[in-house]
Amino acid sequence: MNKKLISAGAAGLLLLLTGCNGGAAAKAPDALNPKDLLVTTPAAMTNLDKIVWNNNFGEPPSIDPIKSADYPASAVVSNLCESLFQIQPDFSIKPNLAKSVKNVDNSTYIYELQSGVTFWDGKPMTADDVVFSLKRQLDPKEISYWASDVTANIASVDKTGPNDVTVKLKTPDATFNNQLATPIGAVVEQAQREKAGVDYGNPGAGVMCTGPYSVGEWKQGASITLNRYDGYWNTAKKAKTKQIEIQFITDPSSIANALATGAIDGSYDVPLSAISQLSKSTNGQLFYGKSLQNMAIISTGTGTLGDPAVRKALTLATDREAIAKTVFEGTSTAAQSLVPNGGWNYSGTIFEDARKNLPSTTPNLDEAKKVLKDAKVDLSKPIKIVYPIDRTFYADIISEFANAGAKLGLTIEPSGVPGAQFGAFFSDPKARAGADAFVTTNYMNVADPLIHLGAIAGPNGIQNYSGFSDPQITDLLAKAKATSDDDARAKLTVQAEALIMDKEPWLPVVDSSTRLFMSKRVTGVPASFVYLYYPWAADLGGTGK
Amino acid sequence: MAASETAVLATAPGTPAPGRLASVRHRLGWIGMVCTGIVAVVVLAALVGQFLVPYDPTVGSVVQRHLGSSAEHLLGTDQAGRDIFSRLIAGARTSLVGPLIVVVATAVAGSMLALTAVWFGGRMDAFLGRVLDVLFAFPSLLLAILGVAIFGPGLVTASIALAVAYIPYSARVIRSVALRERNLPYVKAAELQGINGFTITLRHILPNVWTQILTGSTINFGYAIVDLAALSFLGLGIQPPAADWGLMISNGQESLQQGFPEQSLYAGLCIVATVAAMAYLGERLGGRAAAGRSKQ
Amino acid sequence: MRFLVRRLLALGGVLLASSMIVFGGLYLAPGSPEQFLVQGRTVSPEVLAAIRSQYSLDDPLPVRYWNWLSGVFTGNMGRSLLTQEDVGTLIASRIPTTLALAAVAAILIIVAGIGLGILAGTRGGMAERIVIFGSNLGIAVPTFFAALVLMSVFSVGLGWFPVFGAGDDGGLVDRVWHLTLPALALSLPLLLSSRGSRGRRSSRRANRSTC
Repeated sequence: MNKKLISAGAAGLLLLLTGCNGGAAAKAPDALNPKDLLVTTPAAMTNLDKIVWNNNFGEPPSIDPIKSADYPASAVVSNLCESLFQIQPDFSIKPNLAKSVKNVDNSTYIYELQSGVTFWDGKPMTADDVVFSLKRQLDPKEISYWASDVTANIASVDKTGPNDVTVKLKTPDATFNNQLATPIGAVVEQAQREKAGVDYGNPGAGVMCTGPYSVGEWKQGASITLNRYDGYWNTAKKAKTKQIEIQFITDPSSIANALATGAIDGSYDVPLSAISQLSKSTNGQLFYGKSLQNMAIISTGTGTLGDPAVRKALTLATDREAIAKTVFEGTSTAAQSLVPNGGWNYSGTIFEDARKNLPSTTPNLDEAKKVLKDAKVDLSKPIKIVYPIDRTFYADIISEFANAGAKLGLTIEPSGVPGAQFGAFFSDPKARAGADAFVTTNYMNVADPLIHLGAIAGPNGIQNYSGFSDPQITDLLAKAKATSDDDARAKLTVQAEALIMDKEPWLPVVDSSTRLFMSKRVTGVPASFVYLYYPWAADLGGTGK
Repeated sequence: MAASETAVLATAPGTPAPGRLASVRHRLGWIGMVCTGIVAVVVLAALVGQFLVPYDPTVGSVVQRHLGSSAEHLLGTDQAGRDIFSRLIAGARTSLVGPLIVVVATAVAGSMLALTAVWFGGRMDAFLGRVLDVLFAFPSLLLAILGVAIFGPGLVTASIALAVAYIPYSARVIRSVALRERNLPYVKAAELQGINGFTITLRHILPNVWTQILTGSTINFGYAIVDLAALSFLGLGIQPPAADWGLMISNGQESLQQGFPEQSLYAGLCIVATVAAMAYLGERLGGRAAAGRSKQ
Repeated sequence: MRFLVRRLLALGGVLLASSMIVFGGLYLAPGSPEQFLVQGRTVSPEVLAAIRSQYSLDDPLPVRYWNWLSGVFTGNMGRSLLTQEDVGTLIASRIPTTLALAAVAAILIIVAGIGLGILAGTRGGMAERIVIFGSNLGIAVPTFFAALVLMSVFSVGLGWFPVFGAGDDGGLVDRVWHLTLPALALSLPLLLSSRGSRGRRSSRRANRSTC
């Protein structure tokens, strides 16, 4: 009796629920070819008054550029505050607020500033503002999240002419200008920063920058509106839409529904669970763009997984292609390296050719067993992999690694921690104690493999979480950093890459694509992964439909 | 819990004589019969389910994710390729063990607080009343979040945090019943005879508030299932890959959006059916107990 | 009068004790505020030290509690670590939606609760049983599950209600339209269990839904 009741009710509800989602689920897209990934979307045809966008990552904690070091803030601040250099949709890096740069021996850079640049209040940008802004990175009281080995390498920042700023480095760094395309090179108005005090960057005091959009109404917990800055210096790149309202919806089903119903015009990195629903949408289109993001499992350098042989064996045995196809709905590809495929803006053929010598992503259990024989640790100890509990797909990925581990005789224990505590795994060695590894969805700030590899495997790398250090690798990275010629630098970099991938400080899982959805009404933004540092909203306009 | 177990025992063993069955049906009504059946099935699943499941409820491969229902997988598979039917069965245990911890902890601590307050009265009563007020001031979810932040997520942490949130309610009710007993002449008489308070409380007052504690626990049990499921749903309770109904609803959310509502739906229905059944039985039994007492 | 004063003093004591527990609990929780602030960035020890001094994290617990408490009495509730904003402003900005949601839910509970009560009372027999059974079902439906089903069916499937937002741009009608489903999910357990015996439970539920 009770069973009948339940099954009747269940069938009814089931019908209702599936009916809502348009019947059977759509097939995930077939495996993506990284070569087919887009750089741009069709250019905007008309100017619009207002477009509603969504920032899937949530509300920016602050819009101070030196505090925007993660998706929620960066994806908004990229339209507000500009840097001396700028990343382009094709990942190349162009001078921006700096008009040109003179490079003396890779350790002294003289920047000639763009003339005619004004802040939103109409005041001109001066060399003093630039010096002030760069020095904020070095002032511990400013609490820059970008303070790192890169900024620590700055010896001095000086105004050396009415329109010139000179930066001297302690050790040569050929990648320094690329770093200035991130908020390390962001320019803010000195006077307003000093006046705002502790409220700087929050909804009360805001910021004063030079970007194509200024800050309009910021409704906390709901949305921020960007207003076009009509005095923008770069007239060729003036914003096409008068107002962009950016919502802060983070719930995947709400995002999917808002996009599908047209309540929101577009969004970057739409949730994986929304892919099947949105790929059938008649309201707009999904675009898959080139990305600099990848997903990896970071070894803490301790425990069973602290042994490179165990890491390599586990990667070899795990069907990462299946993970890309299922968990990532076919929007990702199995990762061959810790440098995302296509993550370079110079010497492309050198980086591409180097991939042929890296291990294939096809699972190979026999090879994995062979590699595991080199392990020197106690293999019976369970491997604890930590993930944030609010992201269930990580649990599914770890369970796939656990399946592979079981075949190798390794025990893998997933361990969820609350999202708010997960951040500490990246910044606090004490939090990492006791864990073998933790997951990450990581991205390169700029498409420079050398910067990325240096951060992961360099002795003082900002993302070196295991104290990873290998004299040969350290040496190659330093040599590359001091090399001006692109191809010569690329060759040194791929040598380092091969050595790093032989040790796998991180276990590469998948390379992502950028999942962009736009309604039929709007178009123009880059499809590639530049929305964190490129003013994407300025390109956004109408399709004319 | 205890009350509903009595109900289960009344119907569970074998096939009772028709006359007895009819009398049970008369006492519970047909809804009560259905409810008893549901509770029996859930308790059975919690006790021996792990020996009956066709698959390991914690193991699956993403390659086999979102399979529809078939002879192999009765209710299909979840987003990690695990057998949903096996997970539902296995989930019955965690879904009952957690509430059991909550209910027992609440009943023990609640009655201790209440009886202490009642026996000593005066300042002690006022002080304990304030302590309860402090506990009252916390929403149960906030307490649970605080507990989980300090001790880490898990079934035991979540259950204890929830028990702390339940205690003031249960203590208040028990106190009011116990207070009535405390003021009855026979207790006063025993006190005058010089019998110590501990003995009187244990021998005379406790047995008389026993029904209240049991009824409260039965009702609490249902709430604890729902509240613990909510904590698991928020990621504060049981952790994957362990099977738990609340966790399954949460895990199935994304699948639901992708057109595979099975996991969330079945797990949700399991919670609804179990709690509704227990609440109904708890009320029937509690109501009759109360009626019986008032007749005396 | 004396009774009132005593009750007020008692209330003050309760609030004080509760705030100590929460404050101390946060202190005991693993992870530190400065680590939370840098959100996964590896920053230099100088930056961490600057954060610790800016937020006075190195002061002993009683001093920090006293600073907080005296701040509250002077109208300064402190600053959110997450948004760098005044906590008073943050709370104030959320009050209208919270109140509106509670109001809509309360209206639903009162109207439907009384309706069902009358139905059960006047019709008796089958109607009463169904209402009683329904009330048990009401307690049994977890709010989060109800929300999931309501949203799937009425927002996405049928498109009758919006999928996000609190409707704070439009007028009253827009607002109610936005808040109907969340209010329904909130009130379902209360509404169906609004009979006398459930009073204490209802208050517990209401308690919970405020956070």
